[in-house]
Amino acid sequence: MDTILRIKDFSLSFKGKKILDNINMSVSKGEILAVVGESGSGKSMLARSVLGLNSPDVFDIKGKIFFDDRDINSLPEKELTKIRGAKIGMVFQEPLSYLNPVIKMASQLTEPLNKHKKINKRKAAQLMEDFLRKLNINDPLQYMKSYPHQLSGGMAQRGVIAMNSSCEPELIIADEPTSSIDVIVQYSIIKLIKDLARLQGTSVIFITHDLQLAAKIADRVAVISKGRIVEEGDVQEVLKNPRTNETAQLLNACIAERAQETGVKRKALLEIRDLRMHFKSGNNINRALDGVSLTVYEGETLGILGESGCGKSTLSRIITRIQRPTSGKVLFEGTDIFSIKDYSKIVQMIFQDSITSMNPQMRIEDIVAEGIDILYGKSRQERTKDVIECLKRVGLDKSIKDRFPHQLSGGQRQRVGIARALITNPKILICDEPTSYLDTVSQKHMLDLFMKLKNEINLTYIFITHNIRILGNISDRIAVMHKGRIVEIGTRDEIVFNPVHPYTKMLIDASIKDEDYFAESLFQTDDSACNSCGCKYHALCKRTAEKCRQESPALINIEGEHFVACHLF
Amino acid sequence: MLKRLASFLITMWLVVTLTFIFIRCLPGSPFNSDKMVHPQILSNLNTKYGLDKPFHEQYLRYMQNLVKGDLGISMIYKNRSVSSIIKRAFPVSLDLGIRAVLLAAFVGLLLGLISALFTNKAQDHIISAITMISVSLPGFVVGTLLQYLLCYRLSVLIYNITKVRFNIFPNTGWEGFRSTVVPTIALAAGVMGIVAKMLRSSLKDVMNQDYIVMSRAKGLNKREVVFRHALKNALLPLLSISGPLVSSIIMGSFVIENIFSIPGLGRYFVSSVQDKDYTMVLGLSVFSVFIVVLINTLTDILYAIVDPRVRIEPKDRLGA
Repeated sequence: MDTILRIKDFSLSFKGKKILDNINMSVSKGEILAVVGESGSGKSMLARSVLGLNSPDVFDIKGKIFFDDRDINSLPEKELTKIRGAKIGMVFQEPLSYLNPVIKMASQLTEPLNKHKKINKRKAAQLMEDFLRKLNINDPLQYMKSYPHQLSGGMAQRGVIAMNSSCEPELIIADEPTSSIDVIVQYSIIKLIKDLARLQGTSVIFITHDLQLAAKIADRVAVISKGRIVEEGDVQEVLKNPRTNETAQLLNACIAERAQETGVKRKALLEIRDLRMHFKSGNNINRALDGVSLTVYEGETLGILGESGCGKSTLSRIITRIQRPTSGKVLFEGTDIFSIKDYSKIVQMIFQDSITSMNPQMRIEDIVAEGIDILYGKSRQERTKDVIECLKRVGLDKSIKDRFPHQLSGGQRQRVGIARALITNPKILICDEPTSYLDTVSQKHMLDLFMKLKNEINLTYIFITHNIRILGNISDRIAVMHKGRIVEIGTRDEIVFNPVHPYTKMLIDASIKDEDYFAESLFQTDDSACNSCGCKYHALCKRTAEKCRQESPALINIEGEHFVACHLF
Repeated sequence: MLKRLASFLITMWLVVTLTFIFIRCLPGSPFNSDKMVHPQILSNLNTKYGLDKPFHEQYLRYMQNLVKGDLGISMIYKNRSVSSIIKRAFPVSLDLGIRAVLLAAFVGLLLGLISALFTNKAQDHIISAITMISVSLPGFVVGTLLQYLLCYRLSVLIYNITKVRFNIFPNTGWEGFRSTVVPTIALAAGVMGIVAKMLRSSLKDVMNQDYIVMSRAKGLNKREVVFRHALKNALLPLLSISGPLVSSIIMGSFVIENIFSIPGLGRYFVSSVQDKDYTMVLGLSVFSVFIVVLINTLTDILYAIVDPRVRIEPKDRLGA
């Protein structure tokens, strides 16, 4: 086989600190190579080095990277611009931050064709539309007219992939392309990359922290740790017999053990009654919540599972009183939450992205103490004492209180976010995707922390996520949401091992079984389903009956605590 | 839009009312002067301008006239209405202001762009020094200095060399292009420095964004990256303060107008307060609120054109 990329004795250091240390690897034509490592292991820097994006003014570069037998490091910038985007395409982690917010998709997507193939804008736009259609984007014309902020993460990532493969590059580097995207879309993106590789004979370097994900896509895997490649070989081999500690650790983090069961006490803490939230947009009414009823019991962990746009974040915003519902009620121990004073003592929230939810100009102490500042206004010493205690509780050193948010790592910041929420001694903690920005190892530590806190201070969790693996680990009950409705709710074991609703079944299948069937079924139908009448899932469901189109199903009890909204039962 | 109109009316009402109260709190009246005036004449004058009436009655009458669009008659420039004074003087101020805004924007953006592209190189340091000076020197210093150098020393220099008496830039006045050059530079200097400094920092900020890495990964060269992807984003923070900046140039030129004896609106702002020309002060306040709100509205509209994220979107996000 022809080798298209050969990295020889490559080292990269920044101000004397080694980021990459003596890397040797090669990629053959048409091969998919996964580079797996924890965050901070240097895998992204490796990707950038291949494109020559690390300026030699800033970094100390040693060794050689041969692409098509030319050394990237010795090529002048002008030659590099002819390789980037044309011969090597790069797909990044968070599509939305890698797209220019003030330029329409059309001109961003056509840039590589325009630049490298000298195709004029209009022609390039046409080619791009055809290409997008091939990638199963329903309305490419509308898509091209959109600005990035109008797209969801998954849609944007498809566009980015289309853009970077439009010039039929010989190599695509995908740097964690699915880590900020929910499960359902994740598999469709992976399939997309796989198909492209097959179709165009492109080689792929797939960078990820998820060893199991790597196994699904790659032929070969290289495990990277602290800037060194510690293990390399056939994916299945490595997965079965990891030869080094680092690999074993990565593997363990993926298959986290399920947490211990705790008995559920039956005292209703929070009652949600027929909650509706409708947003008017032009003539359409967007029903973010369409009649949600739910009871949260004291001391339990309730998982709310759903893809992006199913209304789970709207629900959390109403429970935290950030938004008022269109109709319906939320009762805390029988009182309407909108009439409760000092509500921050009852419900606190932990956000997905801790860095943007913290004021960058405030020290950690002030961020953590803000909750009690508003409630009590304690003296300086008392305040500092409380802060230190909270930091200790979440496993942070007290010295952290004098730092600023940007000086902390992602995991530390998320812990600060928890400390900030805990300081008012809330009864209920709402966690909205609290671990989605963390790598698997830190993710596991974080989930352990949640369980530890629960046992220590009798917290009730509402855990909102798209990741069924996480819910399988920590929740007592799971509610599955789809398009503003709860389609199934039950204990964790019932939902995971005995799902009844077709939608739940599909979600579970996707997370544990083969992804191909699943990705396809999702691709073809987006929101063709009628917005208000009938079962909202009928267009995607394989067992749709006439009744499903006409009538919307109610939640019915099928066994014990297991409820489902489906006409088939 | 309706909300904007309401807030405009409230601002207007507040400004008029507060000005009305404050100007009358000042000691003296429009008719005080060094000369002894017969008390009878004074009381006749007061009657003529309605100053003998109770305070609230004067206020109500002024508001009634204001609603009809009548700003009243100046109490110092007898027999001239406030609107006619504004109508005659404002175009000159506006002319000067627009020239200064254009100059400040053009030169400021150019300097900012250069210093951002050559961060920490010689170009950057030189431009930083220039902008630092232009931001920190007050307008009357810059104005007098430029007047001395460009209008006087330059003419002397030319005379010494060519023995021809020729003023390239006239000392004072507002006739012909040559007379506008120096006051425009003097007025633009401060804002130009602010623009350059802001563009430098925001452009540097934008160049560190992820989408810039992406545009480089696409194979664009540095020029394309800057002009296609970075500049538009870097202009956003500038655009959001451009409203106050532009209105400060257009409504705040009285120092420069004074130095160069330009017959603009500026001098009336100062003299009307000194002379306690009640109607004039009020009329100018109303007018400047109007102009400031107008300019801010225009820049808000411009911002929405450049940044799609602040537009009110009828459609929700596409897809899942």
